[in-house]
Amino acid sequence: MGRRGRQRLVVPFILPAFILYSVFFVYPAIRAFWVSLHDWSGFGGNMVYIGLGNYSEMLKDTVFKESLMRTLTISLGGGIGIFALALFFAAILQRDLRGKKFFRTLIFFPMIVPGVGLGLIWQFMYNNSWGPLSALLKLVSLESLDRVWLGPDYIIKSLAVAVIWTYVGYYMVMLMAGIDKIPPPYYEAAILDGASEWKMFFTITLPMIWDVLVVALILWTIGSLKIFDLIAATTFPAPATSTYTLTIYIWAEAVGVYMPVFRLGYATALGVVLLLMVVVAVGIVRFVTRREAIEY
Amino acid sequence: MTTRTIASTQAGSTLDWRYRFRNVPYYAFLILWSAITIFIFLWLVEGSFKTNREVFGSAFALPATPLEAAAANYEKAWTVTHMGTYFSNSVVVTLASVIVVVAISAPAAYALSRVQFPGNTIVTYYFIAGMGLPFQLIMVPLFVLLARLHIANTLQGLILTYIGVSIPFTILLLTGFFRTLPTELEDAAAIDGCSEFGIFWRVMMPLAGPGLFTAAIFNFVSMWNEFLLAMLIISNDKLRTLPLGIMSLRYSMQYTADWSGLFAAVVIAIIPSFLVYLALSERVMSGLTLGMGK
Repeated sequence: MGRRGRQRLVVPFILPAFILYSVFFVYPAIRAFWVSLHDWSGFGGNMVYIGLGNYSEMLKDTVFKESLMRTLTISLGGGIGIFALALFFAAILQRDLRGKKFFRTLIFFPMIVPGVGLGLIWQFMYNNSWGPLSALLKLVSLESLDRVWLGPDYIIKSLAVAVIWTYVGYYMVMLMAGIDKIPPPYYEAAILDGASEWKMFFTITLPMIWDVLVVALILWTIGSLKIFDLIAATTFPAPATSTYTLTIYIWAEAVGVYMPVFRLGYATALGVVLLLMVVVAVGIVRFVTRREAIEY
Repeated sequence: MTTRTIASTQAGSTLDWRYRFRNVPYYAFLILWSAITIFIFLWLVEGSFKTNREVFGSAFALPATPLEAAAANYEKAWTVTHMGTYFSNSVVVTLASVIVVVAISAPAAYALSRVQFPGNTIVTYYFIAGMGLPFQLIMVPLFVLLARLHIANTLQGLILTYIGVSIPFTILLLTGFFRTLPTELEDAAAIDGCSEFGIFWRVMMPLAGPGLFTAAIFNFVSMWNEFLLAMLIISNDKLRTLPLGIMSLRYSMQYTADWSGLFAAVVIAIIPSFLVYLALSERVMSGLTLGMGK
């Protein structure tokens, strides 16, 4: 307040972080927009200015459109699964269940495992010749249900299962933190009025954690469009283009998944599209979940 | 808790009976989910105790010579496939990045959250804006930049990149934390004649311990696991981090088909995070989910 000496701290305190952040993150991000206007095949070669050429190429690029659809499917389908389960887990773990901490810790655990490790684990799980899923179906004589889990027909469902299993704990913990803050008298009053558990969930729990839920939805929207490690490792080393998501496609165009490919301008333009998708998706989530503030 | 006290005061044997068993379906579901999760990881660990022949055999058969097979697999993974080198690279990169990012973000977050100066809000927004940027966007320009600075394909280049991209979230988390600390202590220290830097270093830093620790844990987990930027920046085999190492090992499976060795390598990559999680699960969970809140 009256301490004028503090002002002198500002520049030396902020400068180191400011410089490293600006040089290694902001500058490449801004530069990306310029690069996306070029045709550029390889770090040694020259950039050729083609205006919006990369963007108009996308409109004709079926691999791009299909990859985009897969990303959106995982984002939406996986999101429905994750939030249904996370809300369910958060609500039931709020009860005085024994082993609550154990379940919470275990369900969250995949979040701290390296994404590539998880991806390889799912690749093993889905392996048709020696993986446990196919073996389990054989064990219970349901071979007829066995599928080429990582083939083009089932890849999205298989990936969605892996994605839901990985991320559900993260959103569960966030929602539980929100539920913990609800004052108990609301529930006590509702119980005295004879409200059922379902009724309490929809009339007390859900409205009271709405803000937390919106933040969680926004985080999922941003995160789901960017999921890379898990999917890359699950389909590694030679994913067919029919299994690409948008992030995998960007990887394939920038450096090549299996064989070296260097379509640097196009890959960067795809990165710009990814950024725009994040911005638009967050806007949509904000709009859909907007609500008058309710005073309790 | 409250639910139980009120519900159990209600009379009626049917209600009692229903009350006592009302949690059974929930338990059943939780146990099923946990069983699947435990199975997935146990199966992975068990695979590293098998010989290759056994991996290709029945998925549920237990290994015949677990200790010999494990010794061979882990030995091979650690030395022959260089997991040992990758492990120490990961340790160096992660430790250096975590220490520097926390060390430079803490003073910045302190200044942004506790000192009034013109442009404060704009600078704060500038820092936090980076949180939405996908790494796919910066890949190509970043690589060109690192190549110009002659630090592409070096651990220094990777460390500087990790620091740069981790600053937005670290600053967001720490500004939120500093705002919760009381101002009285600062004022008292100022009245006692403490210098402004002394207030930051001797009064605020010790108070900020838990926040700094949370930021360090969050960054540790995300950097230890990071793959995309590491793959972009590192191409030299000797400089690979663990995620790159297990992916290149998976790549070579096409020629070697040494799956049990790969199982062991994946286990090696998971163990450090697992140990941190085992010791500090609550801190890790809040660290990963907190700060993102508001």
